[in-house]
Order: sequence, then C-alpha cells, then structure tokens
Amino acid sequence: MTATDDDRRVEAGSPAVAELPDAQKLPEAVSLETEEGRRLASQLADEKARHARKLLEVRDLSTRFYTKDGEVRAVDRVSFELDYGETLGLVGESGCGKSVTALSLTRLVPDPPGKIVSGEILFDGVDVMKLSNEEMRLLRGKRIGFIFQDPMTSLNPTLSIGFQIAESARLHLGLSNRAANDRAVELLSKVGIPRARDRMGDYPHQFSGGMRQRVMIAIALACDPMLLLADEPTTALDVTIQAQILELIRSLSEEFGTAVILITHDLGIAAGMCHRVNVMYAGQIVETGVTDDLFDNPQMPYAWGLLDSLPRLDEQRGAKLRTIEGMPPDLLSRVEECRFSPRCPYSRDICHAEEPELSERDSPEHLARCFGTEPGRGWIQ
Amino acid sequence: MAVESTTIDRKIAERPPASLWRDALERLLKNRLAILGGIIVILFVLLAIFGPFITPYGYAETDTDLIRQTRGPANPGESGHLLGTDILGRDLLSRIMDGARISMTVALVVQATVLLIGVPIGALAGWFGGRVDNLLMRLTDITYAFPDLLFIILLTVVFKDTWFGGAVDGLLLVFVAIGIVSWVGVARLVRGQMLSLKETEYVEAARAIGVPDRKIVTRHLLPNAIGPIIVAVTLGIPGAILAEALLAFIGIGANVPRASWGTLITEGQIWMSSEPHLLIFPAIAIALALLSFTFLGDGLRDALDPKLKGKQ
Amino acid sequence: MTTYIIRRVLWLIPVVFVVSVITFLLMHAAPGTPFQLNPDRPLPPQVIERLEDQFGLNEPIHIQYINWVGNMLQGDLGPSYRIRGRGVSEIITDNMWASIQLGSMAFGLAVILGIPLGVIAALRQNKWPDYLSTFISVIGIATPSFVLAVLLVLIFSVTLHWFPTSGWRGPEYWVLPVTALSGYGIAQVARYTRASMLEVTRRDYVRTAQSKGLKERSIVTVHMLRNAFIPVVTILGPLLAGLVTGSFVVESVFAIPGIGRFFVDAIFQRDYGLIMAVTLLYAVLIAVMNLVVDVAYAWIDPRIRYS
Repeated sequence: MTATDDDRRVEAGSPAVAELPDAQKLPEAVSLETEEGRRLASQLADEKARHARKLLEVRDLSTRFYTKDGEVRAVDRVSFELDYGETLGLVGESGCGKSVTALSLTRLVPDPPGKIVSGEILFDGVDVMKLSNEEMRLLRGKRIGFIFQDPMTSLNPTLSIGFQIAESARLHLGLSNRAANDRAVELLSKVGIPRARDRMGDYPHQFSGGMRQRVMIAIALACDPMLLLADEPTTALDVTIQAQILELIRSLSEEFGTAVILITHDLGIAAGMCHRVNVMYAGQIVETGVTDDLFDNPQMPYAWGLLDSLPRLDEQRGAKLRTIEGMPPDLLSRVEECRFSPRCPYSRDICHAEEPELSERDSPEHLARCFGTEPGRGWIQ
Repeated sequence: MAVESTTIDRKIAERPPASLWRDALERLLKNRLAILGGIIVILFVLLAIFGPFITPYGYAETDTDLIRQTRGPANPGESGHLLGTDILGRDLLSRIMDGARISMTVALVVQATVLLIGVPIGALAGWFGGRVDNLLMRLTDITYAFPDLLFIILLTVVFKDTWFGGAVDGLLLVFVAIGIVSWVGVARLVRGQMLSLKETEYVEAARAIGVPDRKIVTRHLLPNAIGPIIVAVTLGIPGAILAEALLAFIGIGANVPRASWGTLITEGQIWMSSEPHLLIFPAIAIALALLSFTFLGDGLRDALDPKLKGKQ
Repeated sequence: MTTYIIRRVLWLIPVVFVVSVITFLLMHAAPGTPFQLNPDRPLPPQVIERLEDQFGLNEPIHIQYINWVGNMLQGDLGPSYRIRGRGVSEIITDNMWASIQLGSMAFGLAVILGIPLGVIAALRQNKWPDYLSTFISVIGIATPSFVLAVLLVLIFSVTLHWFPTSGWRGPEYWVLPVTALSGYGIAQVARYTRASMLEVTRRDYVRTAQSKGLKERSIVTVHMLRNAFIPVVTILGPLLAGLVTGSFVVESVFAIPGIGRFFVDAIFQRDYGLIMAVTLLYAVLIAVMNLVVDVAYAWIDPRIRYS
C-alpha cells in the first residue's frame, strides 16, 4: 500500500488510482475510472446547486469524557460540512478524537463517561441534538450506516450473518422476513461474498477478517443510508485486503450516492478516497481543505509531519524513518496555546501564548490552525 | 476508547514503574467490599487464634451458678454472657469462637491439601501433556461424576474408628475428605494455565536459549499462573467451610463437646421456638464468614486478572 | 453432534464402573456389616453368621462385587439389609419422585429467578433494582441451604404459620424446601448473569447493534442475552450437581420422603445395596445433566462444535 503513496499523491484528484494495487499496469482502466470520477464531480456540482443545504453541517461540536482523572476534551469545538454524496476524510493520530467525532454524530458516545457538551449537528436539515432518543434511533442504521474498525469483534458471534444484515432492513424498511432475507442476499453478493444465499446461515467465525468486513459493509448499507461512517475500516486487515475493501466502499458509495466520512490515520488512504480531508489533532480540526490543495500545499507543521512520516519508494534504503517527535498532549487540561506547539519545530512565543483559530489559506475552502503559516504574519516558508 | 488510551499512556509514562503485584494491590484497595471482606476475614482469624484466651468461659464449660439459679439458658446479655448460653449453660460466644477455630482451620487445611495435590498434578499434566494429561482428565471426569458430598460422608464413616478418624477431635478426617474432592478444580485450572502459557513467546524464547524444562515451569509458568490460583483458592474457602458445616449439621465431624457452627445450628434448630438466639447467632457467624471470603475472593479476582471478571 | 452425544453416553460406562468399584471398596472397608450394627437389639452371633451367609456377605469381596454387577444388569438391585421386606429398587422408585421434584423445581427457580435478577441488575447498574438483586445474592451466598431451611421454618412455619413445617403432600409443602434449596443457586446465577451482562454491554457488537438503530429491547434480548448466557451456562452443571447431592439436608429438615435422607442412614447402617444404588443413581444423573449442559452450550454458542 505504502509503496504507491507517491504516485497517489501526484494523482490525488483521481480517487480510483489508489485502490487498484497494480494501477500502473492498467492505464486504460485508470483513465476510465478517472473519467467517471470527473463525471461524478460535475454531477456533484449540479446537485450542490440544486441543494442549497448540505447533507451534514457540524458546528462547534464538543464532546467530553468525565474520568476519575478529570475532564477529557476528546472533541473540542469541531465544525465541518459534508455534501450529499461527498467523501470526507478525517485524519489524525490515534486518540486525536476522530472516532469520538463520528460517534458523536449519531449520539453513540458511551454515556457515562462521555457526553456531548455543546454544538449543533444538522443532518439533512434535521437538528440531531434536538431529536428524541426514539427519533435518533430511526436515524441510525436507516439514514446513517456505521462501519467499525475491527470486524472480528464488531459482529455478533451468536447470530447468523444473514440475520444481522436482514435485521435492520426488516426494522427500518418494514420488509417481511422473506423480503429482508432477499435483500440481505442481494447485499451479500454486492459486497462480493460468493454463494451469498448459501452463506446466509453462517456465523461470523466462519468468515475471514476481510469477509467479515464485507459483511459489516452489507449491514451498514442494508437500508441504503445517505451517510456512511467508516471508522478505520481497514486498519485491522491485511494490506492486500485493505485495497479491496476500500475499493468496495468507494464503488458502492458511488453506486448508491452515499456520502462517506472516512476515518483513518493513513494519509495515503485519505488521499486516494476522499474529496476533502480534515486533519485532526488533540480533539481539534487543525487543517481542512480539498484533498489536492491539502496534499500539495499543507499549511500546518503537523500535517507536514504526517506527510513526511510516510515511507517513500524513492528513498535510499536504510534511511531513517521520519517521525513526529514527542507525544500528543494531555487532553485533560485546558490550554491557552497551540496544541501542537510543544512538538512543533517552528514554534515561537506567540504559539505558546495564544491559541490559533482556523483561518483561510490559498482558497476559501483551505483552512489551517497555525500562526506560522498565516498569510501576512506567518514566518514559516 | 481511543481517548482514554492517551490519558493512560500519559499515566504510564509519568508514574514510577510498578510491579504487577503493586498494581493488583492498588486495584484491590480500591474495592470497598473486598476490603470489608478482608477485614472480617482477619477478625475471624484473630478470633480463632486468640478467642479462647480472651473469653472468661471455656467452650465446654457449664455455668453451674446460672443453671442452679434459673434452671435454663441465659438470654443474650444476661448473667455476663454477651450472646447468652445454650441449654446446658455453656457460653454461646465462646462456642462460636471455637467454631471459628474449626472453620478457619478447615479453610487452611483444605486449601493447603488442594494446593499440594492440585498444583503439581495440574502443572505436570499441562506441561507434559500426553499420557499424564489424559490420566488427569479422566480422573477429573470421574471426580466430577462422583456425588462429592456422598463421597465425603462415605470416607468419614469408613475411617471414623481408626486413629486417623480420631485425630484432632475427629476433624482431621473431615478436612482431608473435603480436600480430596476439592483439588481437581485447581488441577484443571493450573493445567489450563500451563497449556496457554506454554504457547507464549517468552516461553518459546526461554526454550530457544536452552533453559531446562524444570526451570521454565518453576520460573516462568507457575509465577504467571499464581494469580488465578490465589483466586481459585480464596473462592474455594467458602465451599470448604460450607461442606464442614453441612457435615456437622448431619452429625459427622467434630466430636462432642467441640462445636462446629454446623453443630451449633443443629442445636439451635431444636430450641428455635423458645431460644431463637441459639440459632440466630451461629447463623450470623457462618453468613459473615461465607460472605467475607466471597467478597475477598471476588475482589482478588478483579484485582489480579481484570480479564477474568465475571468468569471463573 | 450425534456422534459426540453417543460417545459421551458410552463414556458413562467406565465412569459408572469406576464409581461403583470405589464405592463398593470403601463401603466394605468400613468396619462392621449391616447385621453387626444393630444398636437397638444386638443379634446373637450365630444369627448374624446365618444372615451373612444368606446374603453372600462372607464371600471374597471381588466375588461379591461380581455378583452385585450380575444382579444389577438383570435389573435386580437386591434387598435392603435394614428395611425389612423391601427391595432396593422398590425403595428407589418409591422415593425418587419427591427428590426429582424438589431438585428440578429448585434448579428451575434458580434459573428462572436468577437470570432476570442478574439482567435487571446489569441494566439498572447502581440503581435500586441492582441493589435489590445484590441483596438477594448476598443472602443466597451467606446462608447455606440447611441454615436457610431452618430459618424459613422458624419464620414462616413456627411464627407465621403460613406453610407446613414438614411433608411433601402438595404445593403448599413445596414452597419452603424449594426456596431453601434454590437460594444459593439463585444467588450464583444472578451474580454470574450480572457480571456477564456488564461485560457484554461493553462489546463492540453491542455498539454495532446500537448503530443499526435497533430498539433497546431487541438489543438486550437478541444481541446481549445470548452472549451473556455463555459463561452462565458453564456454572449450571456444577450447580445442578450441588443441588442433587445437597438436597438430602433439605429433605431431612422438612422430612421429605426422598432418596437423599435414605443415603445418610444407609451409610451409617452399612445398607450396602442401597448405598450403591443411590451413589450410582446420582452419578448417572450428574453425568447426564452435565451432558445436557454441554449440549446447551453448543446450542447457545455457535463457535463451539463438538466432534
């Protein structure tokens, strides 16, 4: 996977390239895929014009965990938007709050110890925070599908996979048992499980990790949701399987017109899959932009660090892997400084004295939270 | 949860390196029920050791003045008897203390037997596998099939009239009989631990550098299995106390005039309508002992092996 | 599965054989024969000898054992040496019913009450249902069946006169003995169920179920309960064995005409045939129950496949 990262960065505009492991051997396939990607992009633009509103608007979302050591600010005033059918990446180190952000969107943060303390979430024009629990339940599974990180533990070991897929279709779509089963078979074959009808009665332990993640995707897509939350969907899988699963998510989301929030710590994956990317650090969004802009011209030392720590093919053998020095900060304390400043090689006094806000960079869509790269007063070249 | 891992990492980074045991102790001290259980266990042990020296009455001593005056037992608080006396004018508190002696000895001797038999056999079976293991497993199957209380009764009846049956007021026999049926559980546990630990990388490593088998078992395997063993032994104690009391209740066990709690409850049952204190106080004693050992055992389990929570 | 069950049933044969040999040897190792140990009315030595001859008690022990096995295989469990004029088979069949009723009702009560108590306690953790359930568990663990039996008699029979003190003649006679015998079981099942439910609550697949927008009730009943049962099932085998063998104390407190109370008397009186029959009956019962539990285990957890 990592071997092709460089190519991917160059052609980041064409999401398809990244998922095909042997992309270079199949140039015609690539160009075809790329054209389709372009067509989709223009379609998106049309839709955008039609819809004045976004699929998802998140404003000042804060989620905290109340532990015995104190209050952990897992998600801190996070704001972002998502278009219908768009794929957004949420990228960052583990513990930066990306999973909690996703759980917060569907109000699935375990309470206690977690609690959404403030913010507004508009999903398809509906204010999620104002929904009753019952209304919220109708949103989950039906409008918003979830894919979790570890397919080994996320499926119920005592229920057949057929049941687990058909269950929400029966509940949310009001299908009869037979219709729900047919739908489950259809979904299973769609996610690439051979002999789908025969395998309906099988249990999760009878499938490999990759196959289980396919089942998980079938569950998430059972009710044809408008939004798919994919929380590190390939982290627990073999590299070769990763590419297949990502391609599956991408092609199905295109086919169904499903918007995707892809949570990952792998920038290569984000570059290949996403239209836009949010970089998160210590519970905040520190940089956001269209994938090309962000990867071509990152505006935050942390993002540079992330990009730099990817191993590259053109590198000399034996060269030391670059890492970001230090550890992510303690989310317990309330700090009046740039969260990244203790680890930042470019930090100056102002970084330790004041907390930067997200500010515009080369385009209105490209924002970063850094004094050093702020146009006009920044000092980092 | 990803968020928590950050704080945990930080904590690990900041605090001084603590051993596994220290960690476990910290967790145990935070468990209020376990601490309460531990304190009561210690009180019972102290009572068992020093009780007879504190009380002004012997457990078999009849308060003749009392009997002469009232021609009946004292109620709690009367005539200098805190918990009253039984029908024969014997101080109930002293008898309960002697009962504590019996119960605590049962706990000790039975679990010692269990450790002495169960751990070596379990370790051998787990380490060598094959025929030894097969034999152990078949033995376990049979012991499981044997109605163990009936076996204990049979054993005690058989040896009742030998020197062995008479030793320590007839108690030694009871202890050993209970121990013989109890060791299998620990043997199975140790075997299971051995089997899983045998596959770990550090044992592979030790083997690879040529550490002799005996040393691997004693240095690497047993120390790692010790947590679950402690838990199993502690949680086995209420069972042993219960078995002894049950035997005493049906008339097997301590010879008169010694009084196991089970015996006291039998006596209490006879007089329960007129002298309920004879039933209530021994019942409270046995309840406290069973509860405190159970709470302590639960606490130890949660402290020593958080993964085991809810199992065992 | 079928082959597994057949193998387990066949495995009963050696188990029963070994159990019977051990019991037989121990029994005969105990000093005294049934006829020498008559406290009320010592028999003259010639009479004892004639009786022992008549019942084959003077034969070498292995011959006695073989005779016993031969008779047993023909369905003849022999006479009772102490209960005049009655065969062992007759005693067993006459008294088995009460014991089985008592044991199965106590086991059923332990499961039917213990599981909901544990589930409710886990779902309402640290709220009053949890405390109520914990209170019941504490009582169950702290009071052994014989203590509970005696206390129940003291409170509900002697003081309140709600239930009869002894006998086994109808539902009102069942209440106290069944409660006394099942107290410990209820407590254990509730404790394990609660712990196991709390454990399951944190599992990823429960989060998946929530993310599917399922109703709270179906998350609990469909997704959690089955998984939570898995560790609980493992304690049901030993629990049942404990109930079966422990029932004789309750039987004796309430004077229930069951097998249990014969057993203790039979040992003290060296009523060889009766001892053997009761031990083997219990052994087979426990083994069959363990098999049932293991099969239930495979039924609940599809990952388990016996072969």
